Amino acid sequence: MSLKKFQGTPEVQHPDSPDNPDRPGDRVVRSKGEPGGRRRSSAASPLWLVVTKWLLIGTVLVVLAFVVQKLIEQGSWVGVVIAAFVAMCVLAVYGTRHAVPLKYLLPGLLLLVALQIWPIAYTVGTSFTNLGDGHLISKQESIDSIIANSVREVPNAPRYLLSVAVKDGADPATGEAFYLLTEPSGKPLLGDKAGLADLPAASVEKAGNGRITKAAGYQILTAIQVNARKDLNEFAVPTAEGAGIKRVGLAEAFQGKANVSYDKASDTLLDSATRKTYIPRKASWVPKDGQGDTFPQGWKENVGFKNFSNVLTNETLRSGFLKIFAWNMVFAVVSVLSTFVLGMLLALLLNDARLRGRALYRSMLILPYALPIFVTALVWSSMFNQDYGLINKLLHLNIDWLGDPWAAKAAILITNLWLGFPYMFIVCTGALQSIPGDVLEAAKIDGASALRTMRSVIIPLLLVAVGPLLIASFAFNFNNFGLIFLMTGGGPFQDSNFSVGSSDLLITYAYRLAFSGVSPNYGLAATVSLFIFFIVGLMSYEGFRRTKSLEEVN
Amino acid sequence: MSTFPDAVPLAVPHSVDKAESAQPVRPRPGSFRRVWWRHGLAILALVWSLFPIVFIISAALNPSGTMNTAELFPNNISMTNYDALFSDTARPYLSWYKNSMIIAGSGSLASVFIGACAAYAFSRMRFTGRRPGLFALLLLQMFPALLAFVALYVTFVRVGNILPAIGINTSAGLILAYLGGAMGANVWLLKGYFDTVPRELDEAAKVDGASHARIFFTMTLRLVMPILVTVFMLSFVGLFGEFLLASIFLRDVDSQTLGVGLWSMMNVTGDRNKYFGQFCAGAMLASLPVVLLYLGFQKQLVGGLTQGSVK
Amino acid sequence: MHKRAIGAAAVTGIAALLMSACGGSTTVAAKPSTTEAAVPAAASTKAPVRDAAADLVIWADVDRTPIIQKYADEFGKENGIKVVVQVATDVRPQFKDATKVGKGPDVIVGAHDWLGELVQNNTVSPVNLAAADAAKFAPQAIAATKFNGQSYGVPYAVENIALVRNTALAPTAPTKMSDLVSQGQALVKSGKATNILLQEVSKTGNAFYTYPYLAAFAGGGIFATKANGDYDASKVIVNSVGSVKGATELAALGKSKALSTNVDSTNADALFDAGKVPFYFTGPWSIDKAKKANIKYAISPLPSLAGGGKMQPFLGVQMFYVSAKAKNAAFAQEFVTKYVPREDVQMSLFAAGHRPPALTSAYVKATTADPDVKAWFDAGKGGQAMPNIPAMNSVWGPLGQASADVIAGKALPQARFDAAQKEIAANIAKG
Repeated sequence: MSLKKFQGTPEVQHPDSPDNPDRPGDRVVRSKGEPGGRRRSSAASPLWLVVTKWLLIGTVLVVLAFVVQKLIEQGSWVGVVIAAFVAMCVLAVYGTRHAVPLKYLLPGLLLLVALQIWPIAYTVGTSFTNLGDGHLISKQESIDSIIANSVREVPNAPRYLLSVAVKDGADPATGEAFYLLTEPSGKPLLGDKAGLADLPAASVEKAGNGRITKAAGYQILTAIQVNARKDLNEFAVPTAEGAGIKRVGLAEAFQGKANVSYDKASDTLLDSATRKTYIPRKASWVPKDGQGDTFPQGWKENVGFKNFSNVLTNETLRSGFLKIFAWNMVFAVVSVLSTFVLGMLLALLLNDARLRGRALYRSMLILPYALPIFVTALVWSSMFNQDYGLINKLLHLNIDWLGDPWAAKAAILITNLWLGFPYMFIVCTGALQSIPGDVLEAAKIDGASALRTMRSVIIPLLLVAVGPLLIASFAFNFNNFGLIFLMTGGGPFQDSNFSVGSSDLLITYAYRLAFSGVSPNYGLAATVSLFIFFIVGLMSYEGFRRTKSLEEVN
Repeated sequence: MSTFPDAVPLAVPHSVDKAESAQPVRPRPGSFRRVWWRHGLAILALVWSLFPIVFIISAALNPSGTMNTAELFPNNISMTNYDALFSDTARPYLSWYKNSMIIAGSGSLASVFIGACAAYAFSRMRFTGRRPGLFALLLLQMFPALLAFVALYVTFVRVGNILPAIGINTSAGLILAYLGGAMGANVWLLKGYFDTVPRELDEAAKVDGASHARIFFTMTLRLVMPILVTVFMLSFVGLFGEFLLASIFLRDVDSQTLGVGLWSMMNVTGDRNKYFGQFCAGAMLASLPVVLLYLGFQKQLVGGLTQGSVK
Repeated sequence: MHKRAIGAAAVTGIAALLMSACGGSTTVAAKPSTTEAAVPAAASTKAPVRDAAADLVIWADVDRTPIIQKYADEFGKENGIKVVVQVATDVRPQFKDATKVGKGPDVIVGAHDWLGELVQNNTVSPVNLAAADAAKFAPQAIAATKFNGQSYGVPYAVENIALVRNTALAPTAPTKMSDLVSQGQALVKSGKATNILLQEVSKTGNAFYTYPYLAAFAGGGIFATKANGDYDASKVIVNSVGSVKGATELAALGKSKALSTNVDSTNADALFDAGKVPFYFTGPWSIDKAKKANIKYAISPLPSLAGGGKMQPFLGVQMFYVSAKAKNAAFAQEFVTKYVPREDVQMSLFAAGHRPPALTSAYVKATTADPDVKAWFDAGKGGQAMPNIPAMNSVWGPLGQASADVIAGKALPQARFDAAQKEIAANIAKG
């Protein structure tokens, strides 16, 4: 549809506000019965459009029906409910003429819920657990794992050559398993769940290495059949003193013994080798007498508000918090302002149509943004090297940029300015196009100087468009983990203390707190990220309330 | 301007004289004298933005692949790193490049579309939950996503069990995962621009019998082209180099993206120094599409709405 | 969204960084030929997360994959099954994530210091190599595959740092640190060299390179060892008399400008390759680039410290693990216990990375192929495997920072290492 069309539109008083575009106005137009059908309204959309629309809706519904069917097969009722809900949403929003805003919002909204809100919910859920390395599995799995890993080869016991077999005629997949073993001496043995027995040498045939290839009355399993039988992973031919002959790979067996056993009644583990008893404590198996090592396999459990109280009462966290918070604020504010001012000035600079080659200038200016941060941050940190970096060399300085608390902060701000200005430049360049020429002309005619035009016309108008982005940029920089991590790792560290670094942000600090222990604690990390979210959200909300954009939204 | 000749004589209250609005767009001969200072400053800006990149280039050209930040220019130049980059079958750079182009291109297009739809609703319609919704979108962007990737991984594994085509290890799944933030990330920027398109245009079209969908697709989208281009660029840059989510999604070397490939080249092989030259060569080439796209989009960037007004 | 990615990326980065302390491969641009799909096996790069149709799935890094594929094909043929070797860009976290949701492989190839974490999360299962087979390996390599006395894999390579010198500047290898420093100082004075010695320190320190100094003195180190040779996480000895002697040496070297916190992983190689530094404490991973820069080098053991013994490097061992959730445990165990200990397998893996093989007979063969191998091995003699207990996670940061502070002269050795000891112990107690 050409825009020219609007030109001829008579200045009919239109009763509709844009808020309710499907209101009577449309019908009025429709009832007029436009000749030639050139100006059909949506109500009288061409047939192909209606068909296409319903085809699309139909496709979505068919796909969802397919998904539901699959979900039912897998017994995932939560999934079925979700899929059905989505189907209803699609039908209700696109199948009817109501809820016009939702027609535009639904796709984004669904993706948002599934891919942004759900991870946040997951984080919230995690914050009530002790999830982390060493606490990923269930208690039962930890018991099984500890027992399985405690199997030791009985010293000086022989290794056997093994052929797994079932009785003739039995199903190789499910029939009772028999181990046809060959001792190093060449003597054949028969092992089953009851124990070891002799196998008459005459009844077997052996391969060159001594492994039994045929035995009267037995059917030897192929490698694939052996591999398929998961029950064999647990199977052992019992021998003396709780030991058993177990399979290694496909064709070998050893005599092993599990040193650890679980006592269900007392909920304890007993290590028969060390005679130690282990009791469950803080989701781990710890020795009852307090001496010796805890088993590494702990389990995941809910810890209620423990992570939250930990964060609130943690001595290191509290001692460093204010200092880090202050720098975090400075870092975020200065980063946003510096990148914005530079980006905006450059956008204004290149926004002059008389400037030849500005397309080239613009594309080159965004290069810092187009390169991955893991290489650019590296380049900057080595440029700031005290002995070997360009900056000290060029300026004939001897500043320990990354080793001095204040210099490190400056180095980080400079680097972030370089990394961040192209973003602001792109945004401002785009937003500048929304400032109408007539306003600028008017200012010019009024005799306003260039500087004044900029201050009282361009910048305020620009701020309307990019104001919310400044807030978003503030929030991003508030949590700018990558830069700090790649540049200084939070350092330099003062006063023989590795927990509070001079350039630490809350997020790098919290990260070190959660991950510095023996096993990284995702539960604690989740809790800390909720706290940070709370702080950033609160501050951003405040900031937002003060910006023009908010008034605009009102 | 030239892309929308029709827009000029448009009879809207804020329209301006054609000659006037067209005037700043066309460079006039002999104007260099008036803009030389702009050239000077622009060159200064280029120096600032490009000098750290010189090190990356010199490492890419240095056969031993080391970075020396004490001197600006390499004393030893060769193309061995580029040779290695293209001949290394274990690290199929060209496949990565292609994958990145496809994923970032389609992901950004979809992202712009979703964002534009949402912005249209937020800008042109009034509905319950509009304001809180806008706030919520902004707030969501601020969540420190330390654990989000774990959740996404688990989600897409489950999705893959039902719909293997969009599960883990598929480009389609990865694009879908990227789109989660499409609405939130861009809606504010887009909405700000949409707000500057005069409402009168919509009203006029409506009187003319156009439905909201028609207005949106055939008129509004054209008028906001500069911001669509901007958002597309931002989104493209983000997706083109993204490596964390992509490394979770794409296990198969041939289906990986540049971000993942370069990141693993630098870190995962155990020692980031070993492939550093090759890595720098790859990183430099990887920045080309972004620069070229931005160059190519210049017309659209400055073309759209010059006579609209901020309400 | 792109912004978010960066932050979270760095999260995995920190793990990568911690690991990079031990890692490093020395592949001489091994250009693996395009994997040809042999009859029973699929091409390596064509498989998704976990090929459901495969009977055995192995994950390895990109340099190792083509070699393992070759033997996997052989194994597949022998047993009439389909074996798939897949490239994992970051084996350790990917294995953990995928195993948790039942999409993991049966076998992975990786470094021995992952072991503690893998056992903690019940992702690997014991591997029972016959005693006779185990005896064919270097004992320290076998020791590294054990955790709490249980063996969890089969090793294929051992690597460690050594003294690499530029023979154009330093024709003979100093055996004492004092000689090294005086030789270096003379070269610097004459303008032939810019630095006495290179060693990655960085502003936050690097405990991997600190350990050899501590271990040069009796009773020095990071953890005390238990009777069975395991590291004892409850006995941190970072401020023991021996360790503090090592720290004092670090301080002295910092003072004489032999060590500097301005040397880090980003510039150490570049400085050495500029040809103006005589000595470099590094591993096989730096050699490739030195060769390309035409540096004539030689490798010798780390020097001895005055009042103590020879500096003892950490050993890093590369090994094959079997997943605890392996869908094909029998095939996985069979491949790892029967194929990996083969000499031809070990030699092929050596060719890909020039890491000294763990199998003794393969090592002997490798020394004739590449004289560097023996030099690296000799430098590693007496070294201990890097701790694979999870408690090591609590050590890297504080110990690294302590050594950086001591080298920079910001703190006194005794006081600083006392503080580090306290910090490490507190971290470990935190669990």
